Amino acid sequence: MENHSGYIVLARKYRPQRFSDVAGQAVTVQTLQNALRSGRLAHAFLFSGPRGVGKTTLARLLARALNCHKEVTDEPCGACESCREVAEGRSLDVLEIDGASNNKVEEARQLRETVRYAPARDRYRVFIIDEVHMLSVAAFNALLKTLEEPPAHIKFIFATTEIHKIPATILSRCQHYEFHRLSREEITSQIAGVCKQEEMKVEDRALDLIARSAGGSLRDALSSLDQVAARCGNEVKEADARSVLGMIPDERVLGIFEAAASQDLAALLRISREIFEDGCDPARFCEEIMAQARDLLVQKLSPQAGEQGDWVGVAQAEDRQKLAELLTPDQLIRLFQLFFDLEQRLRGASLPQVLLELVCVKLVQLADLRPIEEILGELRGGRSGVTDSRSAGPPPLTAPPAPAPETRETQAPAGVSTDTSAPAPAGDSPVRERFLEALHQKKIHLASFIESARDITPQGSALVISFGPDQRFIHDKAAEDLPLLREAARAALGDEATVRLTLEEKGGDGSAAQAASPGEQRDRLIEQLVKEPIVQSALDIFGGQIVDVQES
Amino acid sequence: MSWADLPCDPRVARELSACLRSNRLSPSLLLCGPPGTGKRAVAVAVAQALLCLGTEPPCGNCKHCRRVASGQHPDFKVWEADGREVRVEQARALRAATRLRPFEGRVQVHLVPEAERMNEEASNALLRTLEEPSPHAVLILLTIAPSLLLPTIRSRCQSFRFRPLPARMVQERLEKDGGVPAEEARWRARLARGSLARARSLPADEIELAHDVARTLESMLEQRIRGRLAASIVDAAERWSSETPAERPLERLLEVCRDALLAHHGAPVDSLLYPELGPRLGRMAGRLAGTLPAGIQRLEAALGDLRRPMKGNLLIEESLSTLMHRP
Repeated sequence: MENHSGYIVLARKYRPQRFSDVAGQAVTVQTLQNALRSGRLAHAFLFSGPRGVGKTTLARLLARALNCHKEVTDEPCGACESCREVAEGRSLDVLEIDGASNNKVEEARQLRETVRYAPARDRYRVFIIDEVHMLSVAAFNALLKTLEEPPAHIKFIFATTEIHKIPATILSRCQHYEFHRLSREEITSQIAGVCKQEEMKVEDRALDLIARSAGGSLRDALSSLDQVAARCGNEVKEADARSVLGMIPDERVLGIFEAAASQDLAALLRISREIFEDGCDPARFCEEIMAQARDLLVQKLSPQAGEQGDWVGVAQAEDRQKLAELLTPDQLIRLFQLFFDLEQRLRGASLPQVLLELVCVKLVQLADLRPIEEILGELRGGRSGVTDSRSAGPPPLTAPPAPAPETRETQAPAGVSTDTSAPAPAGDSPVRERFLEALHQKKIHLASFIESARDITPQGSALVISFGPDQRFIHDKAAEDLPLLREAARAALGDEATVRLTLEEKGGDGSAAQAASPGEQRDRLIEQLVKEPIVQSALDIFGGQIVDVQES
Repeated sequence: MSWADLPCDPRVARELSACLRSNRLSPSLLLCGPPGTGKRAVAVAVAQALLCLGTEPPCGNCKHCRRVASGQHPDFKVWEADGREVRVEQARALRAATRLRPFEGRVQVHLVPEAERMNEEASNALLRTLEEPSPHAVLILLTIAPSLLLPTIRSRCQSFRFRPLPARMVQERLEKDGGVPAEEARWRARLARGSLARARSLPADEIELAHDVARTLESMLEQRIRGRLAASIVDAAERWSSETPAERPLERLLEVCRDALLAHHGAPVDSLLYPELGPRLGRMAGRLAGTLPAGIQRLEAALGDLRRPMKGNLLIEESLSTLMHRP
């Protein structure tokens, strides 16, 4: 099969044509070959495993071995008519079916019908169903009977990357082979072999990078090699491979740990920017960081465990030891969680860079993380650790120049009564709060409207709610719900309470003037206070709001 | 037409043209990169290169090139998402189409512009076509989020990564090609997120909107201590969502909050999107008492929610409440 340009991708060109060429699946290959030799063949095989590790390849090899004109053999000849036809995908007796495109029950029924007919020429009729996990439930069920007791001339080979989607009833009728990811060494040696045949010169470090980025899949590795070769020609250097594959430079991964430890926000943001400017996949960056964090934790907690060379991160031994010194296990776990969380959020994010920057800010606060035991110890020791600002996890985001005592001093002369809205006993809370609380339970959005009224004060047995000139709309809304307001007022003031609504007219004259003139004056005072930084800080910190002002 | 003129990462253009020249282009291509980095323009150029009959393809002038550019070439087919998804029926139709011979050219080119929108069934139905395409078909998938594709899809494609354009390059292009004044070109490039298309299409009052956002947040903080937070949130959401889509004000809000957070933590000025607002925003962050991170996350998620049929003003209200909520 030639493409328009005569170019066949390496993964296809080097698809193994003999059992002995298959890399990495030694146990499966051995078992299949034994079965072929001894003639103890199952009628249905299920191959499962990650992408690009040899499922389809072995399915085709098995089909060839079953139908080879020499005999049923543990190594098909590759030369006879049947072997050649299977290789070219035009055998009448070996049918490859794409499970994803033929997944309906009608197609399964059709398949069931054709199973009855004898092979056209060869020993068996072999059905290879790829991506079999995409069959519908009904289609699977339609196959059950056939799969349990097929005619002697029928063999099924199923291949899938998602074994968990295969019904148990199907699983129990098949001989199941699990395919494994290839080790980095196996991949390296395979692609090195391909390079030799293709007469490509690829640096060892570049091979290593390709193998690492493949995640155990030989096809991924060969696709990468294709990519690198297409762009660099037949001599490939480490740096080329790195840039083509979009691998994140090691120093950026390591830099995150260093900058987090030294609380260097500028450095963290620089790394974040570089990741995006270089078009690296931020999700992959997260994975690299998590792998490295895992290594550092292993290094710290159990250096022996890592002695077998079971490292997944990018850091070499020396860097690893150095970095492990910088952060505590708790900090490493927190860092891991931050990036784990980030990776989830990145899926479908509109502005991923902002999310990474947010994590950078959180990383700066990492160094303030203290072991919980330490804080507990302080508490037991009688120190009021909770109010100690150092123990409050992340440093407070609040403006520093606002120590509590000062605010108390300024409160007295100005006579501001702040409502701290902290849970206080019901009897003590001001009428306004109790009223709003009661109203909140009755009709939530009415309460939020009324909350913005200029004033809510009791006058005798009446609750006066006054609205400013720009609040006519809210006033009218409130008037519609007067019965509800009355109920809430009774809950706050007692059973005799009534409600009076007043609306201040523009210019301050008019019928509602009775509430206006003291109100106006008070508004002016509030206006001044709102601009006072110290008042702002006090109210922000304690979560209060200005309810009333009294001149002293 | 020349590859160097394409508004994209010059490295990708170089690599692709080299692959085309040396006949090492895989028939299954995956072009990944953020929005507006030239993926589509490059895909069209590849299709032209494959279908052009001139001496130096793509010439850009011949009948074939022109028809590809206008989307009317019978051997160039674009598979846009049907609604929110690329459906399995489309994937099967694509597969069936690749079995036919090309009408006029040597090959047929199939373009899936939003590959991440292929649903699970559609993705699976394309796997075999991608792995062993018919000898005269080329598939080009574009995506802004390769991590949303099935790993089995990614592993079958030759992929090219489009980097965002450097701000400097965007600024230069705006000044030289578009005749934009230097000052304006600078802020457009800064807010362009590496996309020339975005830099050009930003409304003239973008900066003004950011100032408005900052002012409104400040006044909201005032209203908060007066006990009138709810009304001021409703007001702001009403005002901002009156313009559609609500994406624009949400994005400005997110950017301003991001600047505020960074400024508060002493980030260098050149990392800010609105450096002139920096000190003000830093003070504001101080008053927001730790709700900024949560607010930023909510705003980001709200931008995603906009893609679903949700009311803009409700999303803005909810995000602002998260931002202003006092613990």
